[in-house]
Amino acid sequence: MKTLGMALFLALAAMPLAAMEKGDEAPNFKFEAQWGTLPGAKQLTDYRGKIVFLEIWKIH
Amino acid sequence: MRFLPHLVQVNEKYRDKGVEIIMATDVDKADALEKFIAEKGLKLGVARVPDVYKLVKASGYPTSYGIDVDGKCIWRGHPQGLNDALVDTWLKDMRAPSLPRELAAPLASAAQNYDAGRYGSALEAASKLLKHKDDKLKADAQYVVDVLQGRADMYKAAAELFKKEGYHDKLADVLELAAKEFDDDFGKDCGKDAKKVKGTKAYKACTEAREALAKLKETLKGKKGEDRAKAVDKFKKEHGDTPYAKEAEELRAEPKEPAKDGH
Repeated sequence: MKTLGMALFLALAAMPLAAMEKGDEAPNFKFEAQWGTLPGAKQLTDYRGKIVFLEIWKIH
Repeated sequence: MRFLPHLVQVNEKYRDKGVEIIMATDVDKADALEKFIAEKGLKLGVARVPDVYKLVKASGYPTSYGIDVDGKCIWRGHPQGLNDALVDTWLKDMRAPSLPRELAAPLASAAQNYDAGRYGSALEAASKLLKHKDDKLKADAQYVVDVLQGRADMYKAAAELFKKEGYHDKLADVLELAAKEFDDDFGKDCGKDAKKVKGTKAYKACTEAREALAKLKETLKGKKGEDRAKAVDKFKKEHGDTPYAKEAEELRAEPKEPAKDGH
């Protein structure tokens, strides 16, 4: 139990809590719907080999 | 979103060179998003991604990121910070993505050349194994060929585009880049073409215009109305035979005040 607790603690400690910074791996996320993206792209990793400018935006 | 025209512009200019713009939002009302896209006639990649703010731990809006060929974050900032100079820096370091797995042993030489950035040799070594009877080996060889062929095609497309638009300076740059990476006939041809381009008057004119445009941008800071028009006209008179004249024309109008919330 103690080992499990320690493992959990380590797992949590390793989780990035801060915002994505230079040098971090971008989280792979799936597109639930998309328009005008790369043909056939379903997730961010489909863009490997390309440089991506990702903007997180909101509609007001 | 005030930055839309700006992003559309970058998108049009760089998409053929391997740069993609994705605007991700987690808006749950699909109809609202579709309506917005249709209304604005967006010509950008737009994706609905549930919980995207949490996923990237965005701290405010708008936030944007540059992500490299291996999926690593190389830049974070305000979308307004996206400009040609920044994208050009990214493109300069653009390499093929790291191999996602250890390749089958007979591909060791291809892998070694790939990692060392000798894409011509890697392509040649992998091409020889495309018809191998071992399925895993064949698939690995096909992967390497697809990635590198795609890269060569991207350079070809970029060269075509620059030639068509009259950017002889950028044409020479892209040809030299291809020549550096592809140690094969394709690379050799690119190298020869780059040399030819660099010997032309058009190349010299474009290089001078590019430098002059950077200076013009500095000069225009804080200038208004007639002063701007005069500087732009002068540039167009001196560099009118280059595509940079068009870029200068776009500087005639004063830039709008940056939006506080960006949208």
